Amino acid sequence: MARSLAASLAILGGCILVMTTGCYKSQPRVRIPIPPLNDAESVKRLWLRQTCDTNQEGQLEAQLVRFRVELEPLFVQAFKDRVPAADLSAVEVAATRQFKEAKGYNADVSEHVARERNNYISGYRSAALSGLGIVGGVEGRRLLEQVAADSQSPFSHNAQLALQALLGGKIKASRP
Amino acid sequence: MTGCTGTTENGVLVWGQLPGATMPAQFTAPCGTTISAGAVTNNVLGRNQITSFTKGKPPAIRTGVNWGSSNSFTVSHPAPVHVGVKFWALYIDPLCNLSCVQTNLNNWLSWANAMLSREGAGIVLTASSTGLVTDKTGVANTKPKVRKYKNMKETQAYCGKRPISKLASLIKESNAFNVYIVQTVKDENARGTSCYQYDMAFVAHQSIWGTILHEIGHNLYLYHPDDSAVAPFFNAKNLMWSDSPDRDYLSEGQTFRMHFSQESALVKKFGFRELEKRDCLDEGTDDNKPCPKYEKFIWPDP
Repeated sequence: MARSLAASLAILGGCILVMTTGCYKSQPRVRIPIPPLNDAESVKRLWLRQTCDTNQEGQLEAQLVRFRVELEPLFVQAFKDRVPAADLSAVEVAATRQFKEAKGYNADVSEHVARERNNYISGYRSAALSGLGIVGGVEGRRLLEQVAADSQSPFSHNAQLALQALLGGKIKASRP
Repeated sequence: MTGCTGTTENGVLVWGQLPGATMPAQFTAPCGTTISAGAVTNNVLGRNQITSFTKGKPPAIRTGVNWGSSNSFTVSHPAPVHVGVKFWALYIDPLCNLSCVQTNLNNWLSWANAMLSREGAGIVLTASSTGLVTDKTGVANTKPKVRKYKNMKETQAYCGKRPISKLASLIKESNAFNVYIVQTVKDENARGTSCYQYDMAFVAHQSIWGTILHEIGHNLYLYHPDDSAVAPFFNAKNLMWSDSPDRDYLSEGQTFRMHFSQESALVKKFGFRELEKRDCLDEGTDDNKPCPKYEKFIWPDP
């Protein structure tokens, strides 16, 4: 027998808001094992582009350590080079679309796109430095020291933090 | 998703027994019209449920459907859920002063709501009554318990119960998502973390718009699809993808979890849908309260 459903748009009573104050519970932590990446280039790409590692903390760092020798020059280069054009293009497309969807008040679209683009570049380059704070190496450390000492560099603070991590031995692991 | 307004569609997921169909079976029909679900009969395990999705409203749910009892069932969508958002600036970039940050985040809020509405999330984020952004750089520079959060590390020393309670006791609104703008997260300028909190998240001062909403997604107990077996069903444009310059859509499975997962802030912290909550571990462990899979799409996304 054929049955049908009426998907009604009736509105059920108002929203119920139950406030819980003074309770700072955390969500249960679920650790999702990330698959091992097979090459330094893949690890580099993920490290530089990832902006959040909830549920997988420490796992990518372990892969950085695994490929530390190969990654050192890649991170040095990533800090010095331009961010991949494909990424920047995606940021610009997204920012333009988002701004239009937001009906962007009190700013113009080009300003917004430029800010998102600049923010993405800053995230990418600071990730290169934080990566060096894990993989270290002679060249890596030299770059960190150089940038950390340059008070005019917008990345001076990041380099200082990365050096602290490197010298503090946040992650100690040997090559397999 | 492309939910219902004007000439577009409503969609339903149906649990029960339907010859040849995998449950939940999905059906769509133009806005305001009856959706035919075919010859559904009762599932002996008790998985008899209807979930409806539409644009601009939270998903609706009807559990314990007795498919033999009627030819039609009505499913009612509640009003959109309004939740406050409060940004606390613990650090302000010299290149974008407080006024610049406020303008940027007001525009972010407008985009976030447009995106959530388009995706049928049924959530409206509202600026806190005390203002969307409050400058707390003074406190962050003088109080050590706050100052340390300027450079957020994601360790127990930061995200643990005691330190987070101390921060919350000094800077937090109880009825809102609290987003702390910090100088760095894990030493980076554009990274975020939810710190496994229900109503607190941290974003580095140069985070792009998608990252800010992504962290609130974690407060709603959404996880990264790219870290798990569901990765092939998603792409980098999903809001919860971990390394994306362009986050733009939600699956219906994600929308469902935002409203019904017992670990979503909407349920756990703000008390919405308390009677309908469920564990949503994969499809749910309670036969009578099934969840669509995380990767369930009624409408294809980009």
